[in-house]
Amino acid sequence: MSDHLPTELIIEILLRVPVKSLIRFTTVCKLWRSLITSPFFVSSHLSNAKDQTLLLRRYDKHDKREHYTILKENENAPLGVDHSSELAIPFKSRVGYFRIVGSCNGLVCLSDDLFATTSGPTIIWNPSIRNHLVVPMPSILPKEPHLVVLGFGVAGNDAKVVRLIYYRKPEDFGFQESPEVEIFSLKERSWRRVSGVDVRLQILEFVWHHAFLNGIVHWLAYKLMDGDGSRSSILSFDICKEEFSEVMLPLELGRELATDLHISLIVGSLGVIKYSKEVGHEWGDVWAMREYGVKESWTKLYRIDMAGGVERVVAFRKNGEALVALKNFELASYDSETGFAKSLGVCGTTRSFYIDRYVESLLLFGEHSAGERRED
Amino acid sequence: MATSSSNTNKADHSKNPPLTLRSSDGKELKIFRIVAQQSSTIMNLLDLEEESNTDVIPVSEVDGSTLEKLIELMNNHTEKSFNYLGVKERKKFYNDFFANWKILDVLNFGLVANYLGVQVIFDEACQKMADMIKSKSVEWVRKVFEIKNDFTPEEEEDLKKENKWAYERGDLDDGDDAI
Repeated sequence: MSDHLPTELIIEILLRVPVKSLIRFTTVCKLWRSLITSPFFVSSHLSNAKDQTLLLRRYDKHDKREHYTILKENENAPLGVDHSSELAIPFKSRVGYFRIVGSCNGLVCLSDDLFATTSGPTIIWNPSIRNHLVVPMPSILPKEPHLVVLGFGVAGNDAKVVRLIYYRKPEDFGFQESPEVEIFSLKERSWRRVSGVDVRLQILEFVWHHAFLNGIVHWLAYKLMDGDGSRSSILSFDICKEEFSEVMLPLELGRELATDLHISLIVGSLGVIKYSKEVGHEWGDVWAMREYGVKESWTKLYRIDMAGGVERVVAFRKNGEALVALKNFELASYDSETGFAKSLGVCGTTRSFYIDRYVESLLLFGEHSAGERRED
Repeated sequence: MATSSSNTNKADHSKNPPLTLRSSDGKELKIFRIVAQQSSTIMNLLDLEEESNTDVIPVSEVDGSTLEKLIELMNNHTEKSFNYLGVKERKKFYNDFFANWKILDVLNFGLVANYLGVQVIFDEACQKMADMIKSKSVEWVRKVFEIKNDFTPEEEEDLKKENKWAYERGDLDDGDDAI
């Protein structure tokens, strides 16, 4: 070992090297391999990430494939879409495209449960190092009709998939109030039931989705009230503490049908979009909870006029600008001042667009690499 | 930061005579106190020297040429205009500063910045080295840093097979210009 290369210096240099090069450098020598694969290095490298990048997924109905690309956030410049930066996806869903449960710290959680009648596998994928893990079969597999909701997040140095099973009520096709819950943790490599769950909120079948913030998974939910009514709310699950809680919505949002609401993240806050439709007029109101957990801090930020061809809001840029899916299958950025949507030159089916913060990471290094097909 | 009773003109830095640093090879270089403050090591050495009341601080671990370049960079940092540089401009500044440097010179420079406790410059030297090595092959890295390969050929082959995509020849540039 050369004497002019102290270990601390090697680490400081490698922390600034992109993951692809780091993977290659694990074969320089045993010391470099153990440095790069150490949990301390992996989390330091993650914390060092400075580039603001986004992950974009779209399904192209012409080639019938889903495409994953990295986008660079450039302060106030329009979003740059570089098609040459497309990520190779080593698996394919049975029909259409995967549900993206969530993404965090460079890991993307996919579930093949959007289009087929039976649920397919759940996969945790790190596109930047081309490694993935197929999550083993869960333990709660009821024969009775039920609804499955998933959550994904990384916190406390562990990546976890949480699985909620709501049983159907035979008498009225509704669902039991409280779900059965199990968790898969990357550290434990197995499913584990969570007991003592007392959740009184339900989640919309099929269209469920979540927002991950502060180590907590948030799903849009609703509570059936006496009589015929329901109140919309947010069910939260703390990945580290493994505890459920509720994040209250203000009256203006709570009284809306959960099907008209969509949960999101906007400029580091939890956000909700309320869609409204009247004869000849459609719009979406963007709300954000300025102070986490403070119901009074929910603020309406702006209105999106959907009459000009906007189908739905996909995500928000760092500066709060909305990225929307247009009815003509294009992705666009929406200017709330002018009300104009500017196409970004990216096409896909409107429901398939997914955009989230993305960062390169070394998590899952050592799992299956590209070329290994998952078993059906 | 060192404070001492002999530093009577605290408010007016221009009136303070510059410090003199003496490198390992006997070169004497001037540096104003306000600039020297970026280096925790110089401040510590100053503390020691104040007691013996000499003006020359020996910096025995650093050669004159490197010390001179480091002081030049530290001078740049204290200029007001430098602090207003945007991210892109800072990047360009350092790219220009390190242009045509050999990697072992950047390494040496980084080690000196580390020794003198000038964190910002150390970070930039590490960033430069990271940029210089990221597209290099494993063989190049071993050669330049004189690292012995302690994998057996079988071990190395197995490891490379697991992540073939990271070794694609097309990305690698082993030009010797950086050595």
